[in-house]
Amino acid sequence: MKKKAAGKFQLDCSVNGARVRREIAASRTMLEFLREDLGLKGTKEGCGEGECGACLILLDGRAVNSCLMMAAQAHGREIVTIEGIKGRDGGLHPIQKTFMEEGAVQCGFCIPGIIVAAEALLRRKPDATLEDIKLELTGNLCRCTGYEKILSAVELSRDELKKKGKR
Amino acid sequence: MRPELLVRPASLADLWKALPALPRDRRYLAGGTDLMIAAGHGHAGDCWVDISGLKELKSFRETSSSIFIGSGLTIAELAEKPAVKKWLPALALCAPHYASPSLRNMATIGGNAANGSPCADGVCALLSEKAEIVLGLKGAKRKMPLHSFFLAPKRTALKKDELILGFEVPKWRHVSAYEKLGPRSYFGISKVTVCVSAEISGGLVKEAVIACASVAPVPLLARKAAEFLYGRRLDEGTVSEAAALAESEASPITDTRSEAGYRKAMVRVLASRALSKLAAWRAAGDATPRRVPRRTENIMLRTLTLLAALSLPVSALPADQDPLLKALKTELDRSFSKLKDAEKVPLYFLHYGATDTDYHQVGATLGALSYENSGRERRLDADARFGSPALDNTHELKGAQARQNTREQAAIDLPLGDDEAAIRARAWELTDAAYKAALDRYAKVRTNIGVTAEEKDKSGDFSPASAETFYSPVRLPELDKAGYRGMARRLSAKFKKHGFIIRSGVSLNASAVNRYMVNSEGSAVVTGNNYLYLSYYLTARTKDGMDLSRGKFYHSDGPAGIPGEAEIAADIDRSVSELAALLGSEPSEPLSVPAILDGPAAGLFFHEIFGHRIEGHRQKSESEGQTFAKMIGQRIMPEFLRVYDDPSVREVRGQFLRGYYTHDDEAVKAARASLVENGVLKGFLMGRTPIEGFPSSNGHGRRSAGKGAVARQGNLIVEASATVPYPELRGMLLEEIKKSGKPYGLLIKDIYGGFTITQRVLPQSFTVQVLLAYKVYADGRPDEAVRGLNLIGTPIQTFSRIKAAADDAGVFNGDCGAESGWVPVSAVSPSLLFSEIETEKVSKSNNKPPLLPPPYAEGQGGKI
Repeated sequence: MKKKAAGKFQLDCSVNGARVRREIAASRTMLEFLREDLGLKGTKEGCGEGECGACLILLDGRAVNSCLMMAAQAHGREIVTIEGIKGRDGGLHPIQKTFMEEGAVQCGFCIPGIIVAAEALLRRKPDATLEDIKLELTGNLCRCTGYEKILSAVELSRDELKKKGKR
Repeated sequence: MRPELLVRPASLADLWKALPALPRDRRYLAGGTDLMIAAGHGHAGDCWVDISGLKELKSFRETSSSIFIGSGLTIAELAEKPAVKKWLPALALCAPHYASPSLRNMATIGGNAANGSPCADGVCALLSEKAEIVLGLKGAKRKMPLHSFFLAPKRTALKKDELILGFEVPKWRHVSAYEKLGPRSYFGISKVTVCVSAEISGGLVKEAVIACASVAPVPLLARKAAEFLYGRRLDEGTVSEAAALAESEASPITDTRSEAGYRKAMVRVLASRALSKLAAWRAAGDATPRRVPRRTENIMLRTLTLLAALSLPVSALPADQDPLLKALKTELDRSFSKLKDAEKVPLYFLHYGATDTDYHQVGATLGALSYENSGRERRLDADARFGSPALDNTHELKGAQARQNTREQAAIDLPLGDDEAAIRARAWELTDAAYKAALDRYAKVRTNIGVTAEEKDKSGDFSPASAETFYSPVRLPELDKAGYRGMARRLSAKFKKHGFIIRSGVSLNASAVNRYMVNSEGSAVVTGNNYLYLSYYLTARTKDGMDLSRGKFYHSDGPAGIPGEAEIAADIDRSVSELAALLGSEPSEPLSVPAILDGPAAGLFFHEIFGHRIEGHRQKSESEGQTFAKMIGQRIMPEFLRVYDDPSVREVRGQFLRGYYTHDDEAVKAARASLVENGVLKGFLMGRTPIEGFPSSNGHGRRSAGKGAVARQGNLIVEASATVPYPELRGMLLEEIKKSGKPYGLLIKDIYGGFTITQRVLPQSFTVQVLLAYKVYADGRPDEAVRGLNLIGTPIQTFSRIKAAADDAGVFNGDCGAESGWVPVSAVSPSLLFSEIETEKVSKSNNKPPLLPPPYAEGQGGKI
């Protein structure tokens, strides 16, 4: 039983490859923990109800909505946020580069969540078709771009990743 | 508000230990996708118990007959399992439409049910796949059909702290279609969802389950529509009638997501889409990966050979020239002699049962033909027994493994023609599967005996039977197809005169069923039955939204037994006026009054509340109610009653009995089972499963293809030694009414059917749905039609309330479904007087009648 005095929780997990051990308020959501306790502000809060996808993170490699998850639920598990999605050289990840090249980013608020979703898909399915990409992004809302450039950016990054074998 | 306190137990044992110390207002947190949102809108408990880390809830187990899904599995995890794709097509189809990809990575199937929402997608899919839900509280486990888990919106059967452990879904040969209507194609909460799973064999629906979401206070099973589909071909007419029935069963509300009227209309549209998909898949031959596709040209060829074969009388063919019998015998002998000693434990019994069905059916609605089709199919079952008659692989499992006590088994289609080599090849294939399944179960039985309490009943698992040789197949009689078409059209046109009738139809079904049985004891039995019936039905809806119907079946074993058109026309007229009277009547309030049950209704009544409780195997099963198990030699009903079951009787007072047969499905000759003499219980219905004091079969082991045989009814016959003429029985009813001080009693003329629970986990009660009943007044007022009531009660009390019997004998013919499948049955009883019978209100659709009169009745003003 991992329980301390009422209201506290002893969390032990991995965030972007680093082990994190600390006492948190038991009522913390994952999103609050990342932004407020760890200062990782790349993950955004949009709707707070799982509709918009701006808060997506990877939990053991699967995309989840961090606004609907309690921080304690990550106990013993691996978290990757947008800050942890990097190229091999530690610079920008190919998906991030193609988003810039394609002009897929306008206000940018939804983009961290969309890149996390795209990364989850391309890890699982390197040959994802346009249809696969559309389905994977059904949980991500963007109010600026109209999605066309986002979809083509994900397609381009898929080709890029395959070409370079950058996995 | 999210609570201040959250605990995360490491195991289930830890969880039960921790609970008492926690604040009383505690909630389980699984995927969080509903609870977290609820917390954003208000109070959501003082403490959350996080169960998302419990490995015990993530288990996924597959047995030969079922699949267990742990409640903690996420929708995404389930969608990836090959066994889900193979055995749970509805769940697999639902997954892509379940919220968004990231929410599918979080949401658990258990949470989907626990939330208790009528719009739950995963629940709707599992409902259509006949899932049961398994609940746990500390050490105690219980299991119930998934549909009974939901009580009201957001209210479930969960007790305080009780946890959903998982779902158990039987493996059955079904195909599914999932139709969800949301605000957009993906990622929207359902406005209406209809999910249909069906087993289709030989083009006919063997079983269908229709589940609907967002159209009732709880996830809904459209039972009438599903029942209507039974035994039918999925043609256009059937699809549209079933869809209309499903619509009538929905009772949606208007809320932020949609409007009641729209939702209701969409149930019909989605049900029709789903059923048409199933029909189209079948036509394309890819109904399911588990079925061998049939090509149309093959069917044509087979039909042609068949017609040629049928032109000579089948019964003239001697047994030793019957290709199917020869093939089965040869393959059985080969398999048994080579396999009986192949393992350390002996294979001591091998049995093949093949059912060959040839049918023709025609249906008409409002003067037009709605379907006409013919077909043929052959199904084979193989039963293998390892060990010895004292203990074999069919032995009941107890304790945690009791849920594996299913009668489901593999069965396959056989080639239709005379090709012995092809038939043998299929039999060989099935034997291998049955052999392995039986061996596997034998090992389980041995282990189970070692770890569970000793049984009370020490009788063995299989009783001896002598080798039977019998050969009497039948063929489909010559049918005047053009004549039947005309008659169905003319009779169905009669309903057009009455604008208040919403739906109506006339149909004729003829089938020749030949059962082939060979076994390692040397039995070789071929026995045939002809079943022919004509039926009509008509439905209407009251202003307060109650759906009413009348109808009639004429059963026989040949065309000569169907009455002439004039007689049927007169019956239709009577049914129309009965329906009109019901339509004008008041709905019944719950009552407990004296009543007469007319003959056929009384027969069905006995079938439900008595017959199912004296099926032999139930007397020793540790999970059964065993109402009468220890009552042999005791009075259980009035002295003037005798009850027996005799399948070898063809007719009673000139009325055909559909439950007639020469041999049961275990190759045992049908015999009379004496059940009650002078009100005293004498015996049980016996198959080849012995029970204490009853070591042998009386020819009641029955099944339909794909199930293991158990004791079932054939012709259940109730007789009275003291009787009065019917008018006198009515006089006695008036006396009872006066004595009871009630203003009126009931005269129950027709009942639809009923159901009864014999399992121990639920109350031992029965419900019988009334189709036609009248209030009888003691003060001489004329009888008054009454609607909207079910008869309810418990068996032991009800029998003590039978006061007298008339000198008539009413016959009920129908089909009875239980764990060993559907079998034709009859029930015969005199009209009976009860000093008291309890009734309950029926649920109704609350739908308005149609706004316009039907187009053909324009000008009649839609009046009755």
